Amino acid sequence: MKKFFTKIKNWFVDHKPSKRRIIQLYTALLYNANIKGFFNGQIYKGPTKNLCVPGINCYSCPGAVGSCPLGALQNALSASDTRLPAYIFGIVILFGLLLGRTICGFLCPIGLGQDLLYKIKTPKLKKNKVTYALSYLKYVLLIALVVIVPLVFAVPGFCEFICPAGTFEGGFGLLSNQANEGLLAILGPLFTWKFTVLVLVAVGGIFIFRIFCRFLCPLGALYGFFCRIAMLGVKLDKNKCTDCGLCISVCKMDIKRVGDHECIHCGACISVCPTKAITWKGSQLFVRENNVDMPADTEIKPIASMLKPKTETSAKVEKMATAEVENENE
Amino acid sequence: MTKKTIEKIRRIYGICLAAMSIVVGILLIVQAWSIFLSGEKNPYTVASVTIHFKKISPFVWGWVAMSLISVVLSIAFPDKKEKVAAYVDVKLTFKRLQARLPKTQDGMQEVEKQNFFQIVAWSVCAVLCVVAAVSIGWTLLETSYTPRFETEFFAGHGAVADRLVRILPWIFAALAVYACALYFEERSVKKQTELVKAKFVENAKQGVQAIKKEEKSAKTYFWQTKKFVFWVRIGICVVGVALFVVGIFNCGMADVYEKAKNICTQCIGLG
Repeated sequence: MKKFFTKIKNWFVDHKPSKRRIIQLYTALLYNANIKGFFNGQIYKGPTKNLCVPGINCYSCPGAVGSCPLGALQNALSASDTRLPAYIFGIVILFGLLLGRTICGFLCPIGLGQDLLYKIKTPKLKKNKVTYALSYLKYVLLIALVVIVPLVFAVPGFCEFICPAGTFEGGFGLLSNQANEGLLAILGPLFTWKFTVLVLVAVGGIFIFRIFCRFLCPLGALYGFFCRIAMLGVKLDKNKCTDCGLCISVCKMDIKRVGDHECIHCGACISVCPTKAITWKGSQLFVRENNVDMPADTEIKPIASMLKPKTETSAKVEKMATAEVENENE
Repeated sequence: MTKKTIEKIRRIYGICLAAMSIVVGILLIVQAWSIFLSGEKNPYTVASVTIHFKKISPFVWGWVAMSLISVVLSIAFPDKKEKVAAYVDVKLTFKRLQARLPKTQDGMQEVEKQNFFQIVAWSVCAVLCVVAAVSIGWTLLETSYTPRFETEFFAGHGAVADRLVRILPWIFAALAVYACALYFEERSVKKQTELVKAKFVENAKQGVQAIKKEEKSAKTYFWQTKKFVFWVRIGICVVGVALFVVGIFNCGMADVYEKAKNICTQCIGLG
């Protein structure tokens, strides 16, 4: 019995959520902070909906407190004959410059959902040449459904035909409430198609890591253009890199090198790099070099002399440390 | 229980859970389409949805139970950490080896032949991609569409549905040829690498020296310097902020709010 409880304890210790997971969870809650909306079946109409959130979060979700950048972009392009879509362009540029695809790794609820689905213990489809080829599909969807369809037909093409976030967050969020029973009667072929897409993405996400992000997400494709200039994310020091390829092997995205347009900056590669060539871009903002000037007459004592042997073990440690210092001095 | 037995149980259970996931997915899709194709004027009602999805609820709950059991299994029999094998870039390896071969090297016709086949494969792929792109553009930019795009599409008749059915084969063909070209290139490059390695062995027997490895060039181009990246960031930041401010004053922000405060019927599938 004791062994069983130890196993449970070890499992929780091994599987405690990482900082990235905690940020993802808080972000998902923050984007959908209008809890009241889930109970009364009405969407939030407050002033925060003037602003777009960085990741995909359908603004028709009853809990959504911000706008979806992808939906806002398509609507702005639909209305581009009357008004230049400067506002949404500015927002996307600023998000891309500041965060790039770090948004995909840290600030997108759809990414979180896919990460959790992938944890279900089934055989997985690893990345290969076909998945690498399919990763360019999202650029096709970006051009066709996000740019051309809204410009020509004045409808948000991606939101209307593909976006599983709209079906799940907006559709289910609203239709599951009795107050919106009347909306059920209006459902037709489009909802059935979108439900099919949602189920395919959800089931696919169990076997394929981040299927939506890799193959379908136009917002990720857009942020990928900022990969070289984004201020946050992972970076590779080419002077330390030995081209061992461990980072690419560990990464589940279809990257060719760390930090390229497919990288979601999750940081999984940082721990495997043997030469510590991969670091976080923003680390210099938060970790400063110790530039304190020490007085010239400061006596530098070996650490071993500061150890007070309390136990036999610490006495042995002190002895070993002293021996090391003596060897260095020689 | 031995480790092998545990591994076997885990693998079999994983396959069963995978099969169950696919079955549940198919059932959900089938139920949704059977509701839509039931022939009613308003097919989606609380009653019809409840009846259809109650039929498959044992499978859904079964899937949920199996997923929870897999968690218990992973606690009882922890996963062993997989060893990570280094990724080998076949093309890079071949280029590095080829760079070390003497320039006036005979007997490399087979390598040249493989280069030619790769060019042919990529040319075919490029042509198909251009055809697919042109057909998509032609379909989307023709002006004879009705405003109710999705009605035309799902009605099964009309200009849009016909054209989409005509261009979809080109799109799938382009994707399939691209995937095939990638696989062909990898196999071809592996063959070239083996040929070059064999050449090295032959050269060694004949006493021909390989070209010395060049040191990494210390020269960096101006677009690779930190200064360039810094000024690009400043420029893009200025553009972004300017667009943001212009957008606020030209009522772009108000448009976003106007759309966001109402239910987006297209987003939730109402059209």
